[in-house]
Amino acid sequence: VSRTTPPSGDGLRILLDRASASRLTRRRFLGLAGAGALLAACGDGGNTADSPLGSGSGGATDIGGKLNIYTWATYTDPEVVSAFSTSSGVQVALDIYDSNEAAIAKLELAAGSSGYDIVVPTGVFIPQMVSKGLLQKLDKSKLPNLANVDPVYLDQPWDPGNEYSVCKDWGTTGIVYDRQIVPEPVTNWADYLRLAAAPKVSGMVTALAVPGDLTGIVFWRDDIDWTTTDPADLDRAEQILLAELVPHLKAFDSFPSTGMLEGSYAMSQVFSGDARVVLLEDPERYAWQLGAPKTELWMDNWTVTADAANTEAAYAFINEVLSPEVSAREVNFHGYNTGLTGIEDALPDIEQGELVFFTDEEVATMVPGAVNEAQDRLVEILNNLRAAAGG
Amino acid sequence: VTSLALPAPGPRARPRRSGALTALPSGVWYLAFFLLPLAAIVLYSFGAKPVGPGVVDLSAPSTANYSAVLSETFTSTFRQTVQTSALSTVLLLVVAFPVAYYAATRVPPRWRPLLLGLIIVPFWTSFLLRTFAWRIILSPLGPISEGLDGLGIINGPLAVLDTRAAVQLGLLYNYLPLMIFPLFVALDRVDPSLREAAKDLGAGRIRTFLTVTAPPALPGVVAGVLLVFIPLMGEYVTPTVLGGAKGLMVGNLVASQFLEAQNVPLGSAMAVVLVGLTLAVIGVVAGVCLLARTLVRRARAVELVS
Repeated sequence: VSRTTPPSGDGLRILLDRASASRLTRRRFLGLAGAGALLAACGDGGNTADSPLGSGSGGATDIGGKLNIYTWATYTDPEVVSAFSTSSGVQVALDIYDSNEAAIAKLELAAGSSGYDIVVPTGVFIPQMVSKGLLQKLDKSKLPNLANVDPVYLDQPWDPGNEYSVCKDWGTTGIVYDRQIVPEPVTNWADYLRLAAAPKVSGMVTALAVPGDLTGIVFWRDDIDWTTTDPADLDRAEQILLAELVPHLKAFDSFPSTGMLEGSYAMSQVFSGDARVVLLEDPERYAWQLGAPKTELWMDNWTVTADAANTEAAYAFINEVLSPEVSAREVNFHGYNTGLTGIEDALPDIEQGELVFFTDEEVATMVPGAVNEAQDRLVEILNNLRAAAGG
Repeated sequence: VTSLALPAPGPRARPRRSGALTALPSGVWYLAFFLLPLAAIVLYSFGAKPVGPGVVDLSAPSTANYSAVLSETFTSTFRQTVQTSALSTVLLLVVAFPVAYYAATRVPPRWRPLLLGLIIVPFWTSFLLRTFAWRIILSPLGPISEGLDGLGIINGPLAVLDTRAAVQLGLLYNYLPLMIFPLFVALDRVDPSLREAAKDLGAGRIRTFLTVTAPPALPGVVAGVLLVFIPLMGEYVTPTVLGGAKGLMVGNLVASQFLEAQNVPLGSAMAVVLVGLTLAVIGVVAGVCLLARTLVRRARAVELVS
């Protein structure tokens, strides 16, 4: 890998091979026979930590201090983080949330002393966070790599002119299932709800712990606008989920790949990148179905908190992940399109690529969400369903 | 008879002024970090979720949150929480008592520190990690599942994870030392010569246990039960990790109101109801126990003057 020249195809491929070889999912970890294998795996990780990943993006030298990133699970390659730490001297800590609502509530309750520097909210939540004073305007002079982002993913309606945010990646929602348990192929949301009641499947179904995605199952199935604020629509969705989903539900789990691979789940509503983790393990046993006839399109974004203590490190990190090499590595790790110009062409051999780069026909069925006056009701529905499932 | 085992109370010293002074640090601590937040929670529980920014809107106090908490949606979770906590407490007592009894009466004194040390060793690891470890142990693809399936004890993979049973198991494991130690301390204080005397006077093993060993252990039982039951009622980590959708406890509801729903008033009302419910259960159990003790004492009373 060259330190200075932009990535050639070959250099990139070498990087990716190594990244996938060292990927240590929980299932592999469980299956490791002895300490020798474990040591080998650790050694592999150690080597790559020394790779000059960060130097291509430039600038990140001897910043020091700490950088606290508040993000979703398995959303940043640990090797990218350790390379950044090595080159910049910044100690990086990741903290995890599983819904935007939870992250915003925590930031708000902390009232300016959250301690987080970077947060990764979904786009539609950004106006709310801006009005609550949780984010700071970006100093784009510190983000030269912003030029690498495909203009298609800039200037979104929730943040015109990218004053507060930069696209981290985008993805969608669908269904992942265990072919050995689910008796027939799942082709859409209607199948998901119908097959939840099938013998052996019932009791092993999970749904996302994300309010809008839960009611979305019904709205996407019935081709109702999933940003509806009509109380009748919301009541009906709650009733359908209570009757058809809750009795068969095992967990509300925003990252079901682990549970699926440990054999706890048979069928799960899932984000596309998390489904890819399952299919990378065993593409014969597990299957993915994009939500149909409609499903969601979400975009998560890098933002800097209003009370960030180490803005210099925050900008350096964001700038680094917007470099083509690091971005390609990230895509390979988390399985989402980072929206950099030419990222798809740079990754011709990516495993399970159909879960990362979607066709135009598929994208046409994806609808962006909204945060509107139905939001409180959506959260209430999730909490009611939680209580009902536990009783 | 029981008072024989207890040291005679000495002349009670009058509380001096310096006593109040030494209690000051803990008093300030409790005031600042327990009573004031608790008062805030009680106050918030009568408010409403604000429309604009802020945590709570107290302009029109009402009991609407309490009506919501006591609605059918949530009462089943409260009932399940009391059931789970009570069952866990009983199981803990049943499992912990023999261990404490063995450690206090059968193990030579020089080995006791080692035994107690071993009981506490798991506490050197984080509570969260120990709970997560059960997910690996109980995994349907894990060694226990495959072993039991291979032996024909279960048919197909182990289906314990994400159920109430998994929560119960996790709670039992996590709280066991908290029950063993008060029991051990109480049993350890019983003079061994009393047991020997009971034996010499012709009492059998069971009678010795029931009349000499067990009664002085009762304060330990009460301490252990309170020590585990109260935190069990507020449990959040174990059901989150092991319970899935089915193992929900009130702690989870409170957390999701505070975090997901950003509905601090409703979460506060749930917390207040939980505190009240915990006190009520303890009160009822204490009342029943006191009544039983009075009845037993009356039945056993020896007429000294005929």
